[in-house]
Amino acid sequence: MNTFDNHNHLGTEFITRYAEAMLSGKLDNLPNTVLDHVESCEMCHAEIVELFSILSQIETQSQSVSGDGGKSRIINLKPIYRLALVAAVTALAIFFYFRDNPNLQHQSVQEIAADTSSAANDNTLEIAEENTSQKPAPNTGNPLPDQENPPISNEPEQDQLYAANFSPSDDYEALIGTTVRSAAVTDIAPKAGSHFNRQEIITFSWDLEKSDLFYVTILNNREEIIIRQEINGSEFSTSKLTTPGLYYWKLENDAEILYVGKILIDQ
Amino acid sequence: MEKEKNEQELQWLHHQPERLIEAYQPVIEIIVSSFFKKGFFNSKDKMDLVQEINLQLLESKIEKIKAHFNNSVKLRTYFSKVVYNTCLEIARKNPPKSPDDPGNILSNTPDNYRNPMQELALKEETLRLHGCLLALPKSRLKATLCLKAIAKIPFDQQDIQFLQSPKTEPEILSIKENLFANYSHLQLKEVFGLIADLYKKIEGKSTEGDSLRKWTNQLLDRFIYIMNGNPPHAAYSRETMKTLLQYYFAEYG
Repeated sequence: MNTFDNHNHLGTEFITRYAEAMLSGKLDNLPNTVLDHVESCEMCHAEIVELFSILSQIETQSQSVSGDGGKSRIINLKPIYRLALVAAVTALAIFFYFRDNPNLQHQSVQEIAADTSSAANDNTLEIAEENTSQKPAPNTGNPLPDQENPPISNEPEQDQLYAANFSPSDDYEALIGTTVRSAAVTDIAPKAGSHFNRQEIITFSWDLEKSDLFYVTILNNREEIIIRQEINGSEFSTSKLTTPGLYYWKLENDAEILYVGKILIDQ
Repeated sequence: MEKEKNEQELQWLHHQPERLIEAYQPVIEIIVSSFFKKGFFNSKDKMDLVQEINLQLLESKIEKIKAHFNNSVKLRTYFSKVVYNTCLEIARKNPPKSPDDPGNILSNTPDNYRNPMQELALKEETLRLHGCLLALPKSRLKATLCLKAIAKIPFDQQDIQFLQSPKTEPEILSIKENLFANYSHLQLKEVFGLIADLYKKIEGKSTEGDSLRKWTNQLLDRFIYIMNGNPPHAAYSRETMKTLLQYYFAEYG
């Protein structure tokens, strides 16, 4: 490929190389002629900035997604990566196990590790599936949960899914705790990051200078709406969050989002 | 890991292109979303557009990628550029009716509160502005000083650390005394005069404050052109760009 095209602008190869080098901080690996051209060419500069911006967004998203697109598929991994993955999943499972069962901390780590690692003995690792591939992880947690649903099973596979239910959503994490001055929301409960048990009735409350018609929306970590409720007051209670995981809630009026918070439902 | 992933994707490109397109659906969706956020394709459904791009890829563009991709970058990067160009072709046929006024997300009052969506939009705009500066490694240092000067943003040690030497000591001292705290009372002529004195010493050639100011305005106009896009989707002016610069330097230093 030539460095420049027929119009004396950088060709696709160098536009892509430039944007990739910006992301990796390796611009000095590029030829001087290319660097000088971008200094003086508005159009190539613009093209590079657009691609850089897109690649930055893709990188941010891919950091929160495991696998290629989150689709259901079997991925063959080299043994070393498989072992590393098994170790990571086991460590995560142990972490959550102890965190949520503080009374059981006397139980031997080896016992628990033996339970959880048995899931990874196959030569393939099945990545949990879901259809919205940009989202962080497969919270198979029911988008419209039923209180009668049985509790999460103890099958080893579920340990991976359980951990995945707590993967944060980049979009919503960026909004946590933000309020707007126009609506002056105060005394918001629960505090962002509060923990609850699965059977617990959770009350969301807030204080606003002027009363209005509000909407409370609760979403799981894959940004799927679990509950959306119209409210004419300053609180809302639910006991429908029965699947352990990370949940986001937002308070809106007809015009704008007033507040975004998050809660965690423990096992 | 990243290298193996790229190799796997290359295999798909040559032997199972539909699998590659399936794996890259998130990439396509992110790019399509970025166009929607800029106000393009208002009348279209996002997933319809994703399908349109999938179709174009399967019908012809994958073959072009096969023919032209030479491994000098990650396949994902090259693929992103192809999808971006495809979206741009469609966008140019349907440009937005009126470019967005960035005043929606910017305000001249520094303590102004924005709603969360505006906050996200501002984050994306500052990222693009960061790209504008990052893409100019040779003039970035000078551009940073001059852009701060034109927006009357106080300098800090980081801005001048690579310019300090025994030779430039008096000029650096003068900048520290005058431009490290609020200098809104100073005329731009005086501010650029101080920077020009410093560059006279560094470059060893005659640099006047006025010509430095002119260079800065040209740079600002270039950034405005980039931020507004082609076809235009925003309507930045010099004033709104100065406000964006304040947010940018507050975030990126």
